[in-house]
Amino acid sequence: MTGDDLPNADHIARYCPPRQIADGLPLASAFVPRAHDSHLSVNWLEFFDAPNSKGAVDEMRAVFGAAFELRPNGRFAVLNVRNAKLVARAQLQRSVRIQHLPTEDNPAHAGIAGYSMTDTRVAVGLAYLASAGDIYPALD
Amino acid sequence: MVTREIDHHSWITDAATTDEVIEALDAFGLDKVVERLRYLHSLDDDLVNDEQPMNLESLRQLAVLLIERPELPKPGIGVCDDGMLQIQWNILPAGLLAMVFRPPDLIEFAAVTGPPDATMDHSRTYGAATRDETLIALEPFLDRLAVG
Repeated sequence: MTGDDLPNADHIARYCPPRQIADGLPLASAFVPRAHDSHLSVNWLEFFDAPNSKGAVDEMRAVFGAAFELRPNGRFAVLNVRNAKLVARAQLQRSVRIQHLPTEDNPAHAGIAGYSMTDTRVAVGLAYLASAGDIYPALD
Repeated sequence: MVTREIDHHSWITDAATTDEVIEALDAFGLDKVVERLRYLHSLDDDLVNDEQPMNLESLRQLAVLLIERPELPKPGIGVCDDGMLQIQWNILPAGLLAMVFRPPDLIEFAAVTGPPDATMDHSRTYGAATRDETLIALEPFLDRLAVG
């Protein structure tokens, strides 16, 4: 349901365009929300009910890519929901929420809400976490 | 020293376009930075999804910092969706330091250390300050930056 918090054990994938990737890894700029957005857009991988993470990413790539222009040198950075919330909370000293926010084009759309474009420390923490996680090419 | 500061400030502030700022950096021998910025600027021709091109003032801030501190390793350089320039380094033995350049003269910065998992040490090294203040705040990390 719209606005539901994602389960802690689940995973989200953030699309990182080429200008937010260096040496194949996401830069902190990939986790800076836009000024007019109330959340950082991500994709909920378990929504697709795939047998493994690669299958989920393949399905997400198809759905997300139909509505959003993906670039060959872009990447998807996968984060565990619990770890992302822990990192953000430690940086901010307050909680963030990771909620299912489906759209007409993307039923797996989700958002990290509770920090803004000026909370660089959260973007740094999430980028560092992502650097040790699974990274997938934006285009297969 | 004063002469050098006046020179590079005027080189950068007189540069009227993104290309001119990058050319000015080239003159200071920052080859790898220039190469990365040229690549990033080339992406400005093909922006989608509300992405903004590189912000000229933000680029000027980045250029001045890197010219003033040539001893710093080449950073990872990115562009936020709103066009602001962002740089970062890995901290040795484990950590990440990043800056976002927000005109006219603010730098938002943060550093984390420790393993890249949920147990990482969230040091209270973050803030938004002028260039000089930022470098003072980050001084404990500046000699531990990994070569890119």
